[in-house]
Amino acid sequence: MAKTVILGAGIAGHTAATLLRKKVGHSHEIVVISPEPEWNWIPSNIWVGVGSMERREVVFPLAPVYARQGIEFRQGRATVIRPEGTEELPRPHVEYTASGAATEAPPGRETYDYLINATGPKLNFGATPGLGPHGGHSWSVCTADHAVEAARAFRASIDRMKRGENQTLVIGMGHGTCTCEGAAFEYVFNVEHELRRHKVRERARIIFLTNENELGDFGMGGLHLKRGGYVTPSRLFAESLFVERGVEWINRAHVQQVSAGRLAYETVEGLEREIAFDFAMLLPPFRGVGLAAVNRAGTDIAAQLFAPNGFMRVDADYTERPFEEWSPRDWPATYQNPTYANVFAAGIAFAPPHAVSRPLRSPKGTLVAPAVPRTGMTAGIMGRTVAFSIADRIRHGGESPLHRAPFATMGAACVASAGKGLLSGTAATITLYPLVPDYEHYEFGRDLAYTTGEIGLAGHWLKHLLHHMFIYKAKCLPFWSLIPE
Amino acid sequence: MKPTDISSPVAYATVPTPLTRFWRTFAPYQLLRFCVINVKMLRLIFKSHAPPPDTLPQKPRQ
Repeated sequence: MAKTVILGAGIAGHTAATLLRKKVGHSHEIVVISPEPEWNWIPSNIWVGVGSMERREVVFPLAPVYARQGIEFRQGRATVIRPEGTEELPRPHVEYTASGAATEAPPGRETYDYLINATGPKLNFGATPGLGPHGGHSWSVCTADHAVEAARAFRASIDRMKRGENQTLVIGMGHGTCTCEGAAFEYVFNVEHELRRHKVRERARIIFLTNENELGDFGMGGLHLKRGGYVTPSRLFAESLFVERGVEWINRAHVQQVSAGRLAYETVEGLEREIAFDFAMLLPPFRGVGLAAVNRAGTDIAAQLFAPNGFMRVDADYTERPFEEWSPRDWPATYQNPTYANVFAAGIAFAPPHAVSRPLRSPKGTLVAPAVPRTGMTAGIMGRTVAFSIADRIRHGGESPLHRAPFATMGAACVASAGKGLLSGTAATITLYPLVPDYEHYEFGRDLAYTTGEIGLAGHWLKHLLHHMFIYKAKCLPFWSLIPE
Repeated sequence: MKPTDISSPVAYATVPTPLTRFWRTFAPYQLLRFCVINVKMLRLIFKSHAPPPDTLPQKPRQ
C-alpha cells in the first residue's frame, strides 16, 4: 500500500487528491493536510467582495467530501519536510501543526511515499508597509473572509456616497511584484457596476493602480487579438473598457507604503506620488509558505528544495538569463522536484523559472515585475498531471514515465465579470494559447486561433456556469470527474 | 473621463460605438455568443490537456 500526502486543498491540491483517489482506488492511502477546513472557489470571492454574493456560496467544508472519498483530512499547517526521514523515523515524512478548531492538538507528522506540495502562496502583506486588512489600511479579496471584510468596507463607502460625500476608491496591486492582476481587474469593474446599481457612481473616483507594464498585460506579457480586421494588443481592449466605465488607471507602479487614507507609490518612470483614498482593495504579492526542509543528517536543505521566493523547485530551468533569452522551454512539464523524485509541486506552490512579462526597474532600482498567474485552470491541470504520474507509479512501479503538461503550452481562460444579475452584468472573456509566448512558432507569441477576447452578457453567463460547475465538481457529486479542469 | 487632455492615455483609447454596446447586452445575440465562447473554451481545454507532440514522455529519474 502506497501513501500520498498532499499539502494544501486549493484547486491544485484538491484536484490532485480527488483524481488520485479515483485512479488508485481505496487500497492506497491519501492524506490531505490543509490549514483551512473549507474549500473556496476563489474566483467568486470577487462577488463576495462587493457584497453581491454570500460567503457560504463560495465555500464548503472539506471533511465530509474527503470522508466520502476515503481521503484522510488533517486540518493543519505543514512546517517541515523531511524527505529522507530522520534517525528515529527513517521514512520520508512531513511535520505539521494543527490549526483552526484543533489548534490545541499536538504537532503531527505524516510519512509518505509520494508528496504533493500544493500549499498555494503566503499572502505577503508584509512586503509593503501598511498593506492588508490585518494591521494594515487596505482590503483584500484573496480569501473568502477577506472578501467579506472588503464588502463591509465597500458598503460603508457606498453609504457615505448616499449621504452626499464624494469617495476615492483605489483598487489594484499592493506591490511591484504582485500577480493575479486579472482578479483586481475584475474587482474594479464589479465595484464600478455596484456603484451604478446604487446610483452613486458620480460620487466616486475610481483608480486602478497596477504593476502591469500596460493595461491588459495580466502578468502574461499581454496578448494580441484579431478584431475588426486588425491584430491588436490587449492594451487597446483593456483601455477601452476603462475609458468606457470612467475608471482611471496608473500602471508600472509599485506601492511603497499604505497609511490610513493615503498610499505612496513610485512608477518605473521615476514618479513618486501619493493618493488619498477612502477605500482601497490592494492585492498582496505572493511568496512560498515558508516550509522548512531538513535531510537525514539534520542539515537544512531548504535551498535545495525551494527557490529564494519560497516556492518549490521543479523540473524548470532556473538558470538566470536576460529577458531576451527567456524561452518557453524554461518552464516545467512534470512538476517533479529535481532532488527528490517522489516530491512534486502543483499550482502556485511551484517556483516559476522567471516572469513572463518583461521586468522593469524604476530609476531608484525598484523592481516592477508582474509575476505570472498560475491559478485556476492551470492549477487544476497541474494537480491532475501530478496525480496521474503518481497513480501510474503506484500501480505500475516507480519507473513509470511521468505525465507531462508543459506549463508553457497550457492555455488560459479568464472571465472577468462585472455585476451578478443574469441580465444586468457583462464580462470580459479572454482565452489565450499558449500561456508563455512562443515567438518561434507564432508571429505574435500566441496562436491567434485560440487567443480571443470579447465583452458581453455571454461571458457573464459563463462565469455563473463556471461558479456552479466547479463547486459541483469539487464536492465530488455524481459524474464530477467528467468536468474537465 | 473626456479625451480632451492629449497627454493622457484616455485620449488615445478606443471606445465602443453605441451599436457595439447594444450587441453586448442583446440577449438573443449573446445566447449565440455564449455557445461560441463555450466551444472556444472547450477547444482550449482540450488543447491544454493534450501536450504538443514534441513533448515526449520523460524517462524516469534514476
